[in-house]
Formats: sequence, structure tokens, C-alpha cells
Amino acid sequence: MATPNTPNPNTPRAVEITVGYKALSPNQKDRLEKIEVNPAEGDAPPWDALTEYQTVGTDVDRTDGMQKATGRAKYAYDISFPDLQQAMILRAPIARGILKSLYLDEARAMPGISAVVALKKDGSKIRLVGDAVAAVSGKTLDMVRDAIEKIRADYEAEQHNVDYLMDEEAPMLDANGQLDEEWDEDSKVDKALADATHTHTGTYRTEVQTHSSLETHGNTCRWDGNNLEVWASTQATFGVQGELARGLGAHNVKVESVDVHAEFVGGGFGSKFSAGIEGLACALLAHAAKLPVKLMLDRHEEHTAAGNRPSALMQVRGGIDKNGKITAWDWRSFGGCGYNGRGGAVRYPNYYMGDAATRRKHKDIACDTDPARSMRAPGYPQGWFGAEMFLDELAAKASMDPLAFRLKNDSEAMRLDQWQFAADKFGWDKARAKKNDANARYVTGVGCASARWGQLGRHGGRRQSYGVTCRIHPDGMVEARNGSQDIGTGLKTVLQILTAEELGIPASRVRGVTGHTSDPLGPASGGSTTTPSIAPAVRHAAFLAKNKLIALVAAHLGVPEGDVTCANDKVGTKNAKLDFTEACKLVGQTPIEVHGERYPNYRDKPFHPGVCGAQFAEVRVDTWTGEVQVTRMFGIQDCGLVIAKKLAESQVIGAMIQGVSYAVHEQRIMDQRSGRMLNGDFLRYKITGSKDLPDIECHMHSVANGHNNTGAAGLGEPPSTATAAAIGNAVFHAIGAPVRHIPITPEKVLAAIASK
Amino acid sequence: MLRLPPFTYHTPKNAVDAVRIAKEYGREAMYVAGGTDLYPNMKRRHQTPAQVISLRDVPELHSMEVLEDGRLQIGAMVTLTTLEFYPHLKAHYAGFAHAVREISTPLLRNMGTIGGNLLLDTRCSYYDQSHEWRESIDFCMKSKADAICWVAPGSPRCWAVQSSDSVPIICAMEAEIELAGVDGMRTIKGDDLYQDDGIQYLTKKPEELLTKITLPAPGNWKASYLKLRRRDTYDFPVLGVGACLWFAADGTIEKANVRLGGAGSYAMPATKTEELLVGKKLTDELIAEAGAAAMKPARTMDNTDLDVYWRKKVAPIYVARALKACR
Repeated sequence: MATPNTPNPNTPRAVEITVGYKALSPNQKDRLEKIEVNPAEGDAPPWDALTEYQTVGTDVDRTDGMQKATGRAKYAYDISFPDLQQAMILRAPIARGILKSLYLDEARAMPGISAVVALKKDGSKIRLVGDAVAAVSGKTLDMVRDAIEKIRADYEAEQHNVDYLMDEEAPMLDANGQLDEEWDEDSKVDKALADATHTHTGTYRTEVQTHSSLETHGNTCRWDGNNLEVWASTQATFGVQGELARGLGAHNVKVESVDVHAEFVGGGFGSKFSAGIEGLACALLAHAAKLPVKLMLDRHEEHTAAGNRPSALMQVRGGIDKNGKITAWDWRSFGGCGYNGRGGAVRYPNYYMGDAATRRKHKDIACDTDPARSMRAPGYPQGWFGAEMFLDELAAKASMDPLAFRLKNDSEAMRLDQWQFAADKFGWDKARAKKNDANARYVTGVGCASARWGQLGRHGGRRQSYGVTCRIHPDGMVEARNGSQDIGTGLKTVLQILTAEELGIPASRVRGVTGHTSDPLGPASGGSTTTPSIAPAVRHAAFLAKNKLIALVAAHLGVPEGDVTCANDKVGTKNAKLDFTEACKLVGQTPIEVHGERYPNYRDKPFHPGVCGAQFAEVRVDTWTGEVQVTRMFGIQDCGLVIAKKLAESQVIGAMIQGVSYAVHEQRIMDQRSGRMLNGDFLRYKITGSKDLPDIECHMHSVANGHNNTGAAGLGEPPSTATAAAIGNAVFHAIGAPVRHIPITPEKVLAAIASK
Repeated sequence: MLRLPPFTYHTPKNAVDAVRIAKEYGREAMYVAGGTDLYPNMKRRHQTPAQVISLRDVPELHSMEVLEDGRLQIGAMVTLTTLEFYPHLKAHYAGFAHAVREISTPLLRNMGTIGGNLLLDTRCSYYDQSHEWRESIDFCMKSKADAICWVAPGSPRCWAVQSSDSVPIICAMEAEIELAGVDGMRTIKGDDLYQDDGIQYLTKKPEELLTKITLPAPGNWKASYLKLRRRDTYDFPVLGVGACLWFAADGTIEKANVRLGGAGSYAMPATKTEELLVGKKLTDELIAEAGAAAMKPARTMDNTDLDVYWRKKVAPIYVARALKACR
């Protein structure tokens, strides 16, 4: 068990803790400092940099890994009941226009059909190919499909545009794809640029990326009177609960009467916060049919109508002084969005700019396609690709090594350590110094980019704090429960590990349960909030349960509670100890059950307000064919306290895989004439597969951050910011010319080589 | 959800019956082997045979045999996975085994058969799309007789692309194809099974059943296959080079066959390349020269994945690599 810190007697409840981290390598220094924090009364005492852990940070396996690998895990897709009805959505075939009229009667009369509901009224706007118009449920999907074909929907089509660059608000590009418009005057920026020793400008582009979760959106709904039970593929159990209650208000449904389950979720990446039209349709069909209904999207619907990472067009101009310090940074960007014209904002790594004169402008441009949804670090991978590549080009102008250039400009001390550590591990100096033979067919190159995110967790929603239930059962099994969902990031394992650590028992004796709204409130899994938000409550619950068990053992032994400890799988005093499972027999028939509270983060300044990371990539380019193979990647990433090491590494490696795919393969292709997506399947929408992946290595950097009793920070998003940028820079290094538009396809590489 | 259209499923127990059923229903009937190409196509309404004749229960199509003269005879229903792991194939037909391994993914190779792969439908960006999208462009001539070709709108013919990985190397190796028809069996050369048309890409009669493929006996020849595609993990070829060279004892090339898949509606011969090779030894210089000569026959059109000019440009490089692999 972790050693608790003793309260400072001078200021009640104030505790001195040590934050920071031990040196990453022998040639670096420890970065440890003492700070005073004020935990809430009754909270578990904080862990810090000096805490010695037994289970936290070790290679515990994913608790549900075997279930997932063997198919025993039941996803929303797998839920079944007797009389379960299958359902589908009729989707609009036009990209823009009006639904003139909708005739459902013929569909209702088809054999096997249990319900048909309209999802749009006559006269409603149609805003994309794939807009939901009506939904049908029936005995089998074949019957449903037959009925769907009997629905008559008349549309009045209007002129559409599915390419944001064709919009009249879009900027002009020159023949080389560079933004071709004057910059507005800005005295500060203009002066800084005029004074700079080296200046540079470049236009960068990214394409639409779909979330491509393995499990598509959808749910199974079952009514019992006014009570609705929903098995959803979602990353927001409580969000879906509230949304469906609001949407079904007309049916006398309240929040309490909706129960949502999401025990297993096959990925979300930011696309599954809402019950969506498919959730509401499913509930309405089940209500009308008076039978349970399942409605899951198919892969084409998933690609075309369930959100995406929007495309971006970015132009940067900047300058550096004679020492290589950035002095000017002028940024303008455009987001290629869906019909609502929102969600295209991009961000750039502002920790490089120091005192430079900066300006940032952004404009979202709408077109008649599926709107953007948040996707793993919304706006970051796009902006990082533009900004980090620009930095390499700027460094090249000044004949500086890109890493040295970053070390000079990066203002985050933690990342400076990470850059150096990762560069050594990766072999940067040697790889960077290696010269490609001028006539070599195959050339290699290396590049790097930074990662950043800031998420230390929240304590609750507007009305209620997050919480965790901890139960100690008489048979020695311990249960930790929270109503949030584990979308694959490992929340169940986090519940398990933290509880085991606090109780001093093996992780195998703890069961983490997630994904039922009947359990205590938890956050939506977005913005990398789940683990940092829930972890302190898990600890608090285990801490309270432990104290209850200690009280029972103290009474049993006839000693004061203060003499009893619960550690190393034993409960008792120095001289009289019970095995943990023996001690649990004292619990009696009713398990110990406590509610752990998520207190707000300490008001005091933490060690670092977010997380840092750095990634390095090596590519091999065939200069004859332009083919790019990413051969090797190394990433370092902190996430505050590393709770489940294996799972954390898995997150980082997964983000890098997704980044490789983004950098060299993924691209949504729209057909301007019909307004449709042409590659809405996994054959034509190219996602990197196992044979195309580099060797990926990652190092988890555990940092004691001191912002609550656990100190975990968000991890899902940060590692996804850097990958495409690092690969882009590696290609630039390899061929000596930048490919400023991802995906980096062979023809773009050959064009870049030819342009040299 | 994509659905299969309704059809009658036949399960003949021998080849004669299978051919008889096919003949009886004529254009309405299609054979199905592994179903990995036909069924998805039926779901998208590319083909809608009312009669589907399964070959699963025809025992003679499942056999594999080394003949007395050393040739290898493979039944059309042998799965690609079986071939991939067949030691005799690995030992004596490494190039062909490699081509089989390049087809699709392990899951699909478990279902897919060599016969099915040899008869794989031609592919095109305007054809291999959802029914709704094809409807929105009023189809193309491959699905509808009076429609135009969207790749070359003035063209009287269809330019859909030969996309099977096994075809170029089978043709280059001069493997023999056995066909069962109403009048009995006939054997033809691989090359002769195909013709230069995106719709009528096969020369066989519709009811003729591909029963066996016979690979030449191991000897003074070596074959190779090289595939170009976007992802190594799985993708159809946008160029597939099948090469087979016959060598004299001193290393002089006696005969050369080079076929380009993914570059036209059939595995087209790189004639100039072949001519350059014969009578010479396979030096680096010759490989480069012979590769460069393949630029012309690569008749790429803008109807597959990846950039059309790029595909043409890299054809010589891939041909050279395939030739090098024949060393």
C-alpha cells in the first residue's frame, strides 16, 4: 500500500507533498519540489512523488482483455432478446433540399413490420446525403429493408457543394496549392517580420478523417411502461440518459426512468457523445412496436453520417532572430466543415512562441456534408501538422537542427527533458547526420514533433459530483463501480488497480464495473477526462471501505483502530494479523458499501497544468516511385500518474498508429456531382493495416502532479497530436522538400522531389 | 444494410450436373466458388443471377495432385489458404505462392478459391460503387447496355481493370486451364482464357466450368509476381507484374513472358520487354532496359486507386523488380 503523508499540524488539513519526477536518465536531474496542498476533509491523503506503489504503474493486464479477445464481451451490437426487432433508417439521397412529402403507410403494411416512424416532417430541410428521414423496425433486417424500399419520399433538390474549397468564402490557392491572398496589415507582426533574420511562409493542408470506430453507432431499446432501458454504443452514458429523457419528454419520460448500459464500447474517438438520431429513432420504434428494438448503423452510414475530423487549410508566416528565437508568428487557417459550418477550429503549439509577435485568425467554411464531430484532440493534429512542419522549414532556412531549434524555443521545462531523453533513445543525432547518397533510390529521414494536452479532471457536473461505489464482499472480493463507460481506454482496469493499491491487495481480487447509469455519476469520455476525473473518487471510495474493514478488525482483535493497518494482503496490528480474505469474513452477510466522492482538484498550483510529450519518426522513401514507408517511431508521453502502465502504453501506441494512418492514408473522397462519399467502406477508405505499420516504441513518463489525491491526467488525446507532424518532417528530411498536404501519397512525394 | 437479391441455390454433386444446370438457365445462372467476390457484388446489384450454382459439393474440384510428368494440377475449389501453405508449392512455385499470399486478407483467403480468383470480375472506380451512387450517374456500360463508359465517355468498350493477383503469373507461367462444357472437357492456355474487354473479359462460354489449373513441371524456368497497391495490408492491385523466364544452361534467356495486371482489362503482355530479354543474360543493365520498355504497354486509365500518371510512371520500375526476382 502507498504510504500516506502526515498532515501538517500547523495548518489544519494542509499537507506538504513532493511533486515532479525523478530524472529520466542518468545525465538529467531530478525535478522534484515540495508544495503544500489542502485536501478536503475526509479525503484520502494525497499520493506524491515519494510514494512507493505496489500495483500502480505495473504491467497489470487489461481486466477485460480476455473477454474481448474471446468474444465473450457483450457490446450494444451483441444484445439480444426474444422478439427483438431489427431496425434501419431511410436516408436522404440528396445533399441539399427540402423533403416535400413522405408516405409511410405502404411500409407499415409490409409483412413483419412492427413500427415505422418519421424522423422529419414534410417541408424539413435535407442537409446532406444520408440525412435521416424515417426509421422502420421489423422481424428481420431483410423485411425492414423491403419496407424501407416501400417508403415514398419526394424531395426538392437544391444546388449543393461538398467541397469547401469551392465555396465563395474559401480562399484562393495558387498552382502549387499555396494560399494566394494578401495578409491584412498588423503593425506588430509586420514589424517583427521585417526585423527577423530569417522568415518563411507555407500553406499546409489536411483531409477529412472519419472516426472509423470498429463498433458502429447504435443501440438496443426496451420499454417497460414509462421506463426505458437502453444498451448503447456510447462514450457518454449519462449524456445519453439525459438526451433521451429530453427527447422523449412527450412520452412522459423523466431522467430517472431511463437506464443506460454501455458495459463494452467498440471505440468512439469523440463521435459517440450523443444518443443521436439513431438513438432517438430506436427508442421511438421500440415504444411504437411495444417490443425491444435494435438499431445499429452499417459501415457506410457510419462513414457518411456519424461525424468526422474536418479538413483544414493553414498558412503560416514567421520569423526568427539571429539566435534562432522565434520573433514573429502569423497564422491564418480555414476549417472545411459540414453543413453547420462548425467544429473546424485548429490549434497550434503556442509554447514555442515565447514573446514573439503573434496573430491568429480562423474561419470555418460550411459545405453540404456530414458535420464535424470532436475527434481525438479536435483541431490539434491538423494544427500541429501545419505548425511543426513550418518549424522544420524555418529551421532549415536558418540551417539549424530541428531538435536544437525546438530546444531553443520550447518554453515547457518538462518537455525539454523529454526531447533530450527521447532523442537519445531514438538515436536522433546519428540518424539526422546520416546523409543520403545523392543518387540513392531509397532515402531515409527522421523528424520530430511535440505533443500537448491539458486535462487534470473535473469533479462533477453542474448539480452533482462524480462518485464511485466500493464494496467489500464477505468472500474477499472487492468491487469498484462507476456509471461512466470504458470505451477501450481502460477505465475498468483503472478502477481495479487503484482500489487494489489502496487496500493493499492483489489486483486480481478487485472487479471494476463501468457503464451503468444506476451507478454513481461519471463524465462523458471526451477531452481525456475519464481517468483523471474518476481516479480520485476510486481512491476515496477504497479509502473509506478500508477504514470500515479496519474498524471491524480492530473490534475483533480488541485493539484501537489506529493500531490496525490494511496492507500486503493482511489486516491487523504488528502482532496479530488476519489475511485480507479472512478479515472480510467479519463483514457478515451484507457487504461493506461506501460512496467515494470526487472532490474538486486542490486549489493550489499543480506541478504542470497539462501533459507533455514528444515523438520521433523515421521514414524510408522510394524516390523512384514516391512510396513512403514509416519504419520506426518513438514516443514519450506523460499523463500525470501512470496507473496502468500496459494500458497507458497501449493508448500512446494506438494514437501513433492512428497518426500514421492519418499521415499517409486516410482521406474522405466526396463526389461533387451526387454529393455522396465515394469511399464509405473499409476497402476504399484506407486505414493503415498491420503490415504497413512501423516499429513503435513508447516510454511512459510518470509525473507526480499534486492536483488531487491521485494526480492522474488525461492521456487519450495528447499522443495523437504529434504523429502526422513528425512523419511529415521525416519525409521533408528524407527528400529535402516538404510535402505540405496529408495524406502523403506517392504522387505528392514525386511532385515534391521534382519541385526541388 | 446490403442484401442479397433472392436466388435459387443449386448444389450439384458433379461437374456434369453443374454444367447441365448452367446450360439450362443460361444467362440467369452463375457459378459460386468461395463467394468472396460474387456475393458482395450481388449485394451491390452488380450481378443478380436468379440461379446460383454452388461448387462446394463437386469433389473433383477440391483435389490437388502432382502428375507423373511433374506438373501440378490444382482443383478450382482449392482455397487460397490451402495453396499458401502447401509445401510443394512453396518449394517449387515460390513466385506463384507469393502471388497467392498477396491476395486480399487471411480471412478472405480462407474462403476464396483459386478458381474464383482466376475468374475475378474486372474492377473500375465507376463500377465498384454502391447501387445508389451508380444510379445517380445513370450507371455505366458494364451494368447497363445503353449507358456510357465514364472513364472514356466516347469509348465503345468498357475499360474495367483486370484485378486478380493470380492471373498475371498464371498467364506468364503458361499454366493450363481445364474447362468442362456440355460437349466435354477442353484445355486451353491461361492467356487464352482472357480477352481485352472490361465486360466480356473471359473467352469461355457462360456455362463452361473452370475445373482445374495445371502448373508446368519445375524446370529451367523461374516465375515471379510483384504487386503495387496503396497498403501492404490489403488492397486490390493497381499494377501486378507476372514474369516467367526460361533459361538455357549458360543462363541465356530462351523465352520470356511478362504480363501486366491492373493495367488494362486483361493481363497484357509487355511484348517489347519480352523481345529485349530473349537471347540475352539477365544483367542489371538488361533488367533496367527491359523494365523501361514496359512503360508503353501499361495502358493505365483513371479508374483505379492511386494517380493514373503515377501508375504508368512506376510500371517500368515494378517490371524491373519482377525480372530481378526471376534471377
